[in-house]
Amino acid sequence: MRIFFTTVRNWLADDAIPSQVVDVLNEGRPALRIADIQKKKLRDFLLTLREELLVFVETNYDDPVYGDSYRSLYANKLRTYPRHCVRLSFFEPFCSSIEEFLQYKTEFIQNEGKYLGFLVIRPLYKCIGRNAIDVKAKKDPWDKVAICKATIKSTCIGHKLSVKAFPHASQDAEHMSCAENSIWALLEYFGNKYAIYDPILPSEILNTLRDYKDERTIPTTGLTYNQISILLKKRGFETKIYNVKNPNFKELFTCYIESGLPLITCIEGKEFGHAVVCIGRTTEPEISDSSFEEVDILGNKHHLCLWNRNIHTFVVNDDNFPSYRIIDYNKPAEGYDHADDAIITSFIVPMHEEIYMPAELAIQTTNALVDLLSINDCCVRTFLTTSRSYRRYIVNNDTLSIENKQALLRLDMPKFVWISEYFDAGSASKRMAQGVFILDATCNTRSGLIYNNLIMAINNGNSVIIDEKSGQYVTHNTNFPQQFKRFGGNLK
Amino acid sequence: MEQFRSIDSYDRICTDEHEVLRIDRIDAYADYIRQAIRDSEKYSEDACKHASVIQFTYY
Repeated sequence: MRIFFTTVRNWLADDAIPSQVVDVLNEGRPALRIADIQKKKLRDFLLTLREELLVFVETNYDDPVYGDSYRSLYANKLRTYPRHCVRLSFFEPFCSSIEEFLQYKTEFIQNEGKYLGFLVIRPLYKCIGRNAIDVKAKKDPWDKVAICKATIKSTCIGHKLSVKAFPHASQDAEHMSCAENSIWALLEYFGNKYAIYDPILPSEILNTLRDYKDERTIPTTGLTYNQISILLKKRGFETKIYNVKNPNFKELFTCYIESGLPLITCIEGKEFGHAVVCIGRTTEPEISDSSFEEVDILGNKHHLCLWNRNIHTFVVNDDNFPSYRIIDYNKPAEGYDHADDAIITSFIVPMHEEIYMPAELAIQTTNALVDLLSINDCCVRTFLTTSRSYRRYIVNNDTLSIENKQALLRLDMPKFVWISEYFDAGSASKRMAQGVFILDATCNTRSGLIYNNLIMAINNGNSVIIDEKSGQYVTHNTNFPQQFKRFGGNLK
Repeated sequence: MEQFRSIDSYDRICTDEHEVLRIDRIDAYADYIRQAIRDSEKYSEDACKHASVIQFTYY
């Protein structure tokens, strides 16, 4: 193994560094043309990072994902493909040589936030392999985006480190197209974040879907949305598929993103069909008069700002671009040829099996409660979260009294709850709320009764619960504050 | 020192007054939610039909 040390700035300024790395990567193959393409792709990737970052380069890296593709596909070819990859590791500037780097303890590097992720370079024409980059390493929008993050473990020259990131890789177009790659990234995220899910390797994706494809699986010809959904179900998810024909499509899309669920997102035009993973959004919307609209709920007009209709830019991991691409909802394929007419036409939600209430039902129940409690001139924000996260928010909320906290913490909650917070325009930037509905995500009653959906509501200091004896809503005068701190959100 | 205590904390935060919230339009709300469920199922069916048609393979 060879180890190089440089900075992003030097990599971009001096062609000798990438040339040397790519030579080692290609193991002396007569690959002059591929080398130029690889250098261009690496340059495009590194151009999105802060120039002062340190880069450690380790050669002869055995990457599990590329290794799986190598064994399933590339080793069978006539032309020789190298077995090893090269790995770049990125750090905040804190040392000036490999020797100095080796003087530091792992704990210092990890705890002081020096490690910012890694990028695996594959010996392929599409060389951007598995990578996990902390948004702080990105040059421009790192303080603007809020995304789903998992802790992803790695090593660098013997140091065992971890980074909080959303996994990304480019497609190789033979073993993995955008569809398989989106599945891989999604399961890599969930598998690293939650013990109940496992990451997946490319050959496992193709083998699992072998019975569901009419033709051969290699070389890949992509997947339909049904096939993507089947695979996610086989890996322990319950899925929901939404299509743009749904009149609340955008609101539902945003609602699930606000819920911290990465979505496999389909972008279609007449000559274009692409799948990406939507992993977050840019900053919170600025609430102004123009954000409000007249919402008709059962014939009554309510002057409301619906939070999930007021977010227009999202963060996606697109396997044809470096990680964390910001897209405009209305122009999701900007930068692609022949895709001016492309729009988001579908998305798949990878849901936990114990979420029975979909977003549309949570939104409609919220609307019914808004009407019931005559709420007006407020912004309404609906999202899903775990009761564990919500309880953590309650116990750390310094705008609630100890008694308020006890009252909320003793509520019986299922594993997941839908939360609808509402607040006036003046409280939006202060991140305060005047009220909240806590809804039972295990409820999906076909009887249509809204009683069962509600666990508790807090409305301007009063509470609304179901009276267990009468089965009716009872409102109590309570000492909940008129305003309290809002839930911080599922995106980080 | 209290070693073991059960608190019905909800009662402790309530003042004496409370009222049963009258939902005069309960049938209308029930229809509203039922319609939401029917719409959800209809749109899901449409989405699943579409999902088997397009093969996503842009490269």
